Amino acid sequence: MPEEAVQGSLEEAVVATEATEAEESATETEKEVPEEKKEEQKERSRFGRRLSKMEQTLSDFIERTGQVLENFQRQPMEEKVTKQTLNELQDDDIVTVRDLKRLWSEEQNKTMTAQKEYESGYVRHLKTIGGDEDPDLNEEIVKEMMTNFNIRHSNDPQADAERNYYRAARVVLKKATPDKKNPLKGEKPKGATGVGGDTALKDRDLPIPELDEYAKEFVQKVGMKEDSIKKALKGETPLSLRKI
Amino acid sequence: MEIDQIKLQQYISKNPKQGARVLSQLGKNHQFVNAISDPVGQDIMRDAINQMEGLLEKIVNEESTDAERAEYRAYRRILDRWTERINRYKTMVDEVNSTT
Repeated sequence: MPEEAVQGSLEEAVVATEATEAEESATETEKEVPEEKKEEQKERSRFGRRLSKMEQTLSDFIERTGQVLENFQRQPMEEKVTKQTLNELQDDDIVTVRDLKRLWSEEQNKTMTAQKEYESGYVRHLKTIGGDEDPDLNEEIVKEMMTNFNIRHSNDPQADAERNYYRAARVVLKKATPDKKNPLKGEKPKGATGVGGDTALKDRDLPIPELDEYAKEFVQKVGMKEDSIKKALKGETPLSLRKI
Repeated sequence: MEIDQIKLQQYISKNPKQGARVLSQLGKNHQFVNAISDPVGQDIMRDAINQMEGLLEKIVNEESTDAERAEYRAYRRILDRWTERINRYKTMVDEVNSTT
């Protein structure tokens, strides 16, 4: 008999012996502690059921996740971001580089359009303001404005145009107005000459207002004297009527 | 609505041109003030007011004729003119009397 065959028969014998021993011990144990065995079996079957349930749940979850992923992959990326602008995107939105470029380009276009609108509004309003001015003066003011005051202060082109125009106008008009010279500069002030007399009225030159017929009639009815009225019309007040 | 003569004189001497105008206005409107101070004038005014009142009642109750409405308008115009002149006179007198 070859050595391998002997080895095989030996192994089979050993296995058979072990099995017989195990069966014998099992029969003994079953006989000795049947209650414990039953409990253990129950426990095992409970664990088995729980495990199978968990396996089922896990399998369902994996299946659902797979479906979601599949749907997500099927949906074209462009469609997802077409309706979104850069401002509408959320922090956790997924955007491709291509979409980002597109959104950035749209944003730049928008900025440029706003800038153009601002500029056209600015120029239009500038023409309106300058329309009332003398053409030469207006030209000078606009030149000054474009040189030194062409600043954007806000998003309101009209307000900015007015602000810049009037600032420039102030500078231009200030340049056009000669500085007042101090007549006493470098000289000592002299005392006033011809004090009094030269400018004083010697007599009242103003014409005396005349009374019409209604006024004369009223004066008569009230019983006032014509002389006192005439004096009053000359601006004279009798001493008796003056306040002390 | 008595005018203070001393104050009138002071008023005129302070501003002769304005004083002459005030005297003229006082003269023009003085007659109307006299009229309502006079018993006959008062009677006329009372009659006019009573008539107006009666006509107004008819107008409000929608019982008036065209002629009555025209009459009411005439009374009203006359009374408006009268009161306006009296009011103007009073304003002038107040202005003169308030001279300090």
